[in-house]
This record gives sequence, C-alpha cells and structure tokens, in this order.
Amino acid sequence: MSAVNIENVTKRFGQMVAVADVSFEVKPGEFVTLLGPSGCGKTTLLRIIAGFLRPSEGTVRIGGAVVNDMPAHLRNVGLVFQSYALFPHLVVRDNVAFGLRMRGVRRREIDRRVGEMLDLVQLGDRALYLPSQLSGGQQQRVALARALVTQPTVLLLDEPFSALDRKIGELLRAELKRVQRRLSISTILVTHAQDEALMLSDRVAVMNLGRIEQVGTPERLYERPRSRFVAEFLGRSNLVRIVQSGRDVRIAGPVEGEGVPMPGTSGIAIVRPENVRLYPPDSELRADRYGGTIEDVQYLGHARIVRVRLDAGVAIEAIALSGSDWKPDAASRVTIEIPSGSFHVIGEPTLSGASELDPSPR
Amino acid sequence: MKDGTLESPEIDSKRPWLLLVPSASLYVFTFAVPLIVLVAASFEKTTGGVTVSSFSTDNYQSFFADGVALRAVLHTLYLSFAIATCCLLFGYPVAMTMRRSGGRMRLLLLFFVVSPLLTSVIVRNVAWILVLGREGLINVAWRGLGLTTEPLRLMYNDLGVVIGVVHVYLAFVVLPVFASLMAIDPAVEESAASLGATRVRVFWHVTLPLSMPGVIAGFTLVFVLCVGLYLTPVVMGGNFVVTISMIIGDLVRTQFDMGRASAFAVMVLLIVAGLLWLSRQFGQRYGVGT
Repeated sequence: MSAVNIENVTKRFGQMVAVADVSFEVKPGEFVTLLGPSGCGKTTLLRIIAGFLRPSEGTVRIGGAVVNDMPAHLRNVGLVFQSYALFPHLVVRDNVAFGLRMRGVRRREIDRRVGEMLDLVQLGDRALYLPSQLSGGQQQRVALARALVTQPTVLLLDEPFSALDRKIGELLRAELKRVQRRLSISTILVTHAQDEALMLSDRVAVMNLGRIEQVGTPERLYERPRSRFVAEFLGRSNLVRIVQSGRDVRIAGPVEGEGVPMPGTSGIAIVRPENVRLYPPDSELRADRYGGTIEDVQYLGHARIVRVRLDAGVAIEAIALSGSDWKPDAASRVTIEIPSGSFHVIGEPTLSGASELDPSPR
Repeated sequence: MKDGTLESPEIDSKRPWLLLVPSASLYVFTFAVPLIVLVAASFEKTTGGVTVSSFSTDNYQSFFADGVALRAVLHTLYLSFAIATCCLLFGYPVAMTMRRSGGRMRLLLLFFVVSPLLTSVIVRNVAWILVLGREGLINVAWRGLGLTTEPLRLMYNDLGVVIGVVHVYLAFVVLPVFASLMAIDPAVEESAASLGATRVRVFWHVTLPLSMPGVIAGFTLVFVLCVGLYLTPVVMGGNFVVTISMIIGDLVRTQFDMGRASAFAVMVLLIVAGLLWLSRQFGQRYGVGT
C-alpha cells in the first residue's frame, strides 16, 4: 500500500489545464519532490492532495483510501507553507498543540507529544513565545513540528525554504532530512530549486506545463534525463547534435538554428560540463578532442565555468576546478576532450523537429 | 499590528509643520475653543438668564438627581449596544463575502454597503417610513397575505430606530472587518483545516480571533457614533424613543438652560471617553495598538 497514489489526475480551471493526466505514487517513508518552474502545476497538484482543490478527473488515494470527496480536515495530512502560516495569536506550544486539540486528544497526552516534538526541532525553550518573536527559520521549524505532531499519513511541503535566507534554508534542509528519516514519514516536497530536490529526495518528479516529464532517483534524472527540459532544469548541460559510428560519438553541430538536421547526424545529446576536460591549445588532437576559443569565464570560487566556442561553431561549457596552475582566460585558444561515454542521447532529430526540442520556458 | 513607519522622503523642508497650520487652526477654533467654553458653561449656575455662580456643581447634580437624564443615557447606551451588535451580526458575513468574491462582485457589495452614507438622512428616514409605517410596504403586504389584522409595529419604537441606524452604520463595521480579514494569510486557515479543524472550527479558532482588530474597531466606532444619536430617533422613534441628545437639544432650544445642557454634554463626552478606554482594553488582548 502506498502512502499517496495519484492516478490520471487532471485539473482544469476553465479553459486552462493546470495539471494534465498525472500519475505517481509515494511509498511509505519515501521522500518525493515535485520539481518544476512556476506555473508547471506542482502547487496545484499539492493542493489537490491536501484537499483544497478537487481534481477534474482522476483518483487521489491517501493511505489506500480514495479521498477525492474527502474534505481537507479529514485527510490526516501535514502541511507546511512557504509563508510558515503559523497562528499569529497563539504561542508556539498552542500552535503545535492545535491539531491534537482538534482531534480531542487528552491534555496530558497533548503536553507530552508537543514537548517531544518541540525537542525534536530543538525549540523546547521557545514554547511560550509568539511566532512574531521568532526568526524565520525558527518559525518554519514550529510549522514543521505542528504538521508532524498529529502523525500524518503524508507530509506536504510547499516551497518551505523559499522565504528563508540561503544559509538558514540550507541548515533547515538538513534538519528536515534528519527529522524525516527519524520519523520515516512519507513526504512530498514542492519546489522550483533543483539543489533542494537533488539533496533531499528519494525520487524526483520533474513537472512542466502540467505534466510529469520524468520520475526517478536524483542520480537517474541527472545522468539519464529523458528530455531536453529535464536536462536543462537539473544542473548545467551542453546540448549538441551528434554523429555516432559504432561506439564513437562525435559532435556534429549546434542544435539551435536550422530545423533540418545536417546530413550524417544521428541524434541530440547532452554533455554535463563536469565531463568536459580542458587541455592547453597545443595538445595532441584526437577524435574526441576539439579545438576552440574561450568566450567567457565565470568565477564561482571553487571552480570556473568556461564557455568555449568550438571551431565547428558549437558553444560548450566546461568546469575548471580552482587550485590548478592553469587559469583559463577569455579569448585564448583551448582544446577540450569529451569522451564518447559522456554523451547522453535524449532525442532523435526529425525533419519537423521533435516536440521536446521546442524551446521550453525555463 | 505591524510597525508601519514609513521612511520620510528627503524633502528639502525646514518647516514641515507649516503644512499643518490650516487644519490645526480649524481644529482649535471648531473643537478646542468650543470645548473649553462648554466645560466652563457647565459649571455656571444661572437663574432667569442671570449668572448666579461661575463655579457650581448644581448642573452635574441635576444630571444624577433628575431621573429623566439618567434614564435617557441608559436608553441611549442600550440602543447603541443593540445597533452596534446588529451591525456586527449583519456586517461580518458581508465582509466575509467581500473577501471571498472577485473584484467586480466586491465593488458591487462595497457600493451597496456605502450607498446609505451618500444619501441624506432625511431622505433615508422618510423612505423607511414608507416601508415600515402603519400603511407602509411591509404592513400592506402582510395584511394582503392575510397573515395579520393588527398592523405590525415596526417604527415609532426602538426597533424602528435600530433598523434606520443599522442601515447606515453597517458600512462602519463592514469596512474595518473587511480590512482585517484581508490581512489574514489564507494559508493560516488552510493549515488549521489540514490539522483537522472543520470549517466552523477554523472560523472560531482562527478567522474570528484574527479579525478581532476590525471587529473591535467597527463595534466601537458604531457604538460611539450612536451615543450622539439625534435625528433618526426623532423621525423614526416619534416621541417614544428618547436619547440623551434629544434631552440636551430640548434644554437648549426650549428651556434655554445652557448650564445644564453643557453639563449633560460633558457627561456624554466622559461616557464616550470611557467607552474608548474599554475598547482599548479589549483591543490590547488581541494585540491591537501594541
């Protein structure tokens, strides 16, 4: 039995289709992330699961039971919002106790469970503070405790780190992961931040234009993206046309530009920048090496993103880790190496151009 | 409430108070000076138009000794409370509807709520007579349906006054409550629902407490405005409803007793001050003005 099961769910608002025939499941204890740009339907899907929206079509199951017609207050889900959404008129303890009070749990039991939960999120000493007296990070931890204390079937997180400073957000992420593992609670996170998704999730569902493009482990999605959208949404990537002969893969030319593939090209592939190696310009030229000119260098501290314009016309991004003697300079010549195994084919070129090659909104 | 301080723009002005001179002088001549004169007059004792003593508490003693004034004050407070309560009961659902509805519907509701304020009080009251009177719309319809032979007494009593005033003052509750409701993050109510609260309990435990600033403001505003009720009770209450303002008016216009009129007016002012203090105490419990 899965914690949450979504079957062919579609949601329309008038003419607009916000969620289009989406299916996926969350196994007990699993952490699944809905990742996508704003307007991709991920929040709509979360609100359907929480019970604030009805699906136009399809079935939603929580803990095995169909909940399509079940109001939100009976669904036993925990909810955490970007805006924390704490009860501003109640102190921390009463915020956390709210769900238990609504369920008619006895006072002594409430005190015990609220105390435990506040200790778990390390706010035991803030029980009598009002939300307005806490920092953003603390407020979000209260929201987490409040959502978890009722032992929900599934925890739903709607962009919970977006309103926080980067550093605080990172700390809270680690804490969320710790608490989630400790309680082994099934969790659905909605976010547009790919690093959050990669770091926290057991599985990620990448959404675009109301559909799920691909579901899989973070590694699988990063290394074997099924579409250009997934490839470009998760991390940096170079998109190129390739020619294949046997096991050898070579760059044939750029993807953008003409719709008709050049003769001899056999597909579209991505190459991750970290798999592109940089060599001095006078290096020995082999089949998997290409000469080019450095167009641009972005300094990130631990590394540099180097954009190289190959003589064949394709722009390729590579990563040069800091600490080596060689410093790439703009406008200087360079040789790059891309081993055949570093290409990941994501689509076949057709005369009309495959739909996934359409420039998608990012 | 949040600290609403705004950065003052860097205007090159050495005398910013200069802009306040027109309104401040108006305030001095229309409020401060008359108030001082009023308080002074309230301590004057006159017999037959001649000042006997410039400091006497006789006027105030008569307020308490004379049962008429005290009864009128109590009745005015009773009416004010009834009106403010009705405004709240009828206005709160309107504010909630306005919050939920879209832009055009919201404007329409707002127009209906505010429109009585744009109508002359006399026109409004005469219109109500046509509706509520003995031969008014409601009574004619009621009789026509054969529901009663006796006419319903809908005016020339407290009910008529309450109906006539609630109609106008509804706006003074709807607007602050609406503002309070709009300040509530819908996610807070959704959180409560997901924690197991039914719609009624979400309202009771979250929406209502969070809208209390608006409720208190609206209730207080209507209550205080009602303490000075004069014209509507005269028209819609006939001679059956007596408010303290009517007593004071009578003292001024038919008995020419400025001393007692002033003393009674000062008492009304003190009552209003007391009401505002009470409202503040309530407000502080809900975090207003802290």
